[in-house]
Amino acid sequence: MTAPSGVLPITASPSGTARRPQVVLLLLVALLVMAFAAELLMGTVAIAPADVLALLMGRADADDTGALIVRTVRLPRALTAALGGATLGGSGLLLQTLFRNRLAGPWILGVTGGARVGVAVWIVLVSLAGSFVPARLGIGGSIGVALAAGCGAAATLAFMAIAARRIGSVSLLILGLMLTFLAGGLTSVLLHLVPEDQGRVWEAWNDGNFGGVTWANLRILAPLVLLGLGSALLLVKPLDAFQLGERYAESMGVPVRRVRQIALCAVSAMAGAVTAFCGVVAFLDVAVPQLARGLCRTSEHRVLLPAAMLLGAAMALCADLLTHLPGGNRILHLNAIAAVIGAPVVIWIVFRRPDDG
Amino acid sequence: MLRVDALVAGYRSGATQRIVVPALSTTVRPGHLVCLLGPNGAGKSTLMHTIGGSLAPLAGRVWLGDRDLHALAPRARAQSVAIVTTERVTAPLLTGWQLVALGRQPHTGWFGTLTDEDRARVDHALRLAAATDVAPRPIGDLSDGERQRLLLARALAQSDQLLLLDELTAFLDLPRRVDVMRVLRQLARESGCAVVLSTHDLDLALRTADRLWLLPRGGPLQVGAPEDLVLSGAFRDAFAADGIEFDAHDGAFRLPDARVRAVSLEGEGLALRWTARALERAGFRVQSQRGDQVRRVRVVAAREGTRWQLDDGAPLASIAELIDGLP
Repeated sequence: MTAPSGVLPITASPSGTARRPQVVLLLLVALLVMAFAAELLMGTVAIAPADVLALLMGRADADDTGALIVRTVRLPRALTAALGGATLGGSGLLLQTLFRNRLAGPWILGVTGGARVGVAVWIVLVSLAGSFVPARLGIGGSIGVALAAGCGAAATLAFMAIAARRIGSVSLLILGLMLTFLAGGLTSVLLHLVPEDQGRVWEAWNDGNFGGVTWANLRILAPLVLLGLGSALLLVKPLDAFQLGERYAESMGVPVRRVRQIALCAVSAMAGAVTAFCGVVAFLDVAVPQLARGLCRTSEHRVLLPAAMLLGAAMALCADLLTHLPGGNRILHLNAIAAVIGAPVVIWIVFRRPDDG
Repeated sequence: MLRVDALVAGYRSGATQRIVVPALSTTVRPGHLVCLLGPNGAGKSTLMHTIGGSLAPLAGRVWLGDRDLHALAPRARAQSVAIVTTERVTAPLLTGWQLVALGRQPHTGWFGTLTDEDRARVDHALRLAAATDVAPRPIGDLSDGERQRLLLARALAQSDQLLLLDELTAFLDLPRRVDVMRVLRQLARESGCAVVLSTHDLDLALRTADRLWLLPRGGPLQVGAPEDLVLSGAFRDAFAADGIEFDAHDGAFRLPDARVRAVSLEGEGLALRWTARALERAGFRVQSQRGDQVRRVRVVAAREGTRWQLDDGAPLASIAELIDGLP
């Protein structure tokens, strides 16, 4: 771009800083690929990289133990972590822009908590209906769980969207945390109603975890997440306008209501699905978009949104990798790592710019 | 040309209507700067949003050229009307250029990719709003005045037909306000854009606007050149209810004072004018004839500078001493 005549030369036009976002996005793709590869290659059982590669190319012996582990454990786990992380990063950014609040996110606003209650209600209903809980076993169960979680998430988001018009942004965050606690309590109480053997299936799910998701689950999880991420990416232009507030967005011809509805539905669908199959994963939703902003140094969503998704996926893979590195004495919880990474970022946001809105 | 045709602005809830601005008909020419003045709560913002199309009118039409603004699709309307609201813009990472480029949104495609023409329009708007120098900086680092000029540029990048600016100068100090008004008038003339600015700056509006819209609380809107409204007394009447007096001779506002005492004043030149001002500020009515019960002030040009004499007392060296000497 050339500077108009009679004006000081402008170095930072839109294109002046255009290189940096592209480089950052490429680096994030590379990071994601490496993290994904590491997740496939590393684990408690040592499997030769050549064998993993052979399996991925479809040239492995079906009865081989290594191949079995990669196919049934590591690959679905890596895919789940990548999808889950992308969901947390992407929906965190969506909510931060919609609520104009740097500390918003599906976890901190209680949306994942709501999704969990949705699942608990569904389990109780199924249990009362007398049938065995098939959620983790078949496609039908997966759909039910994902649907219940999506409804729980959507109900919470709708409530928060209304609350955001009445209370300040700090109060909103406290409200979200209280909802998370409330949801945790409700979930426990609800699962108490279920016979012990059926409730036990869900104990592991009390803590966030990308492991244990089957291919059957993934067949529901992946489309929902990809649908959510895809519709979010279609909104990059109106999301940019939302940065100035809804009134300005409206004056620029943005269909504010519709954009908000699509974005909230996308978040409900993907964050709900991830919570349904992986449980509640904390902190990454707030931390990832902020780190992405720091890396890209921009607030343009066409850069920031893919960056938040890529970074979220990569960070979730790395965090998951840390939980099952060989040589550890005990099982490390995913949320412990998420908190160690994410909480300092949140604290940093609070101190740095408390009133960014 | 903006043509407002029997417009009634207000709010409708169910069957009841609350009329804020009754039947208004007027026009604004391209390149004209209109200042909308009125006390708080008179409905300035309501009128602006109704004209801009974001609020449906209770009756009447708003025409821009030959198009009815309220019948347009939001995107088409956004292409010809742009606003600056009183909301604070907080997007610290956005650069000035990017903020102004957001104004191109109604003109761009699905992903908002800017064409060369869009970029040229952004640069042009920045130049007219005198904001080119701050364009590369993130808006979180800018002063209020710089940010307001960028918001002005953003609006101009969006539309070159009608700008509605709601209290654009409200957060600024006096030099910045004067500066923005100067920029605004020049921008209107150069771009041929009709500009409506609501403001509380009576004095600046009187000096800058091509037309004034006076909106008294509950009353009908009065439209005219600033000087016409002063001469017809409309200006005085619009603010009379708020306890502000407008002095048509000085073209300035004055706070009415209950303790009106007369002082006679003699002298000449600039010192005389400012002495009169100081006396009025202190609550005196200034007259030129001497009277019995009236204190007498003389402004005297002496060799060592201006001196003030109160009655027959010793010459005083400053207006401050003079005022302090009066009860």
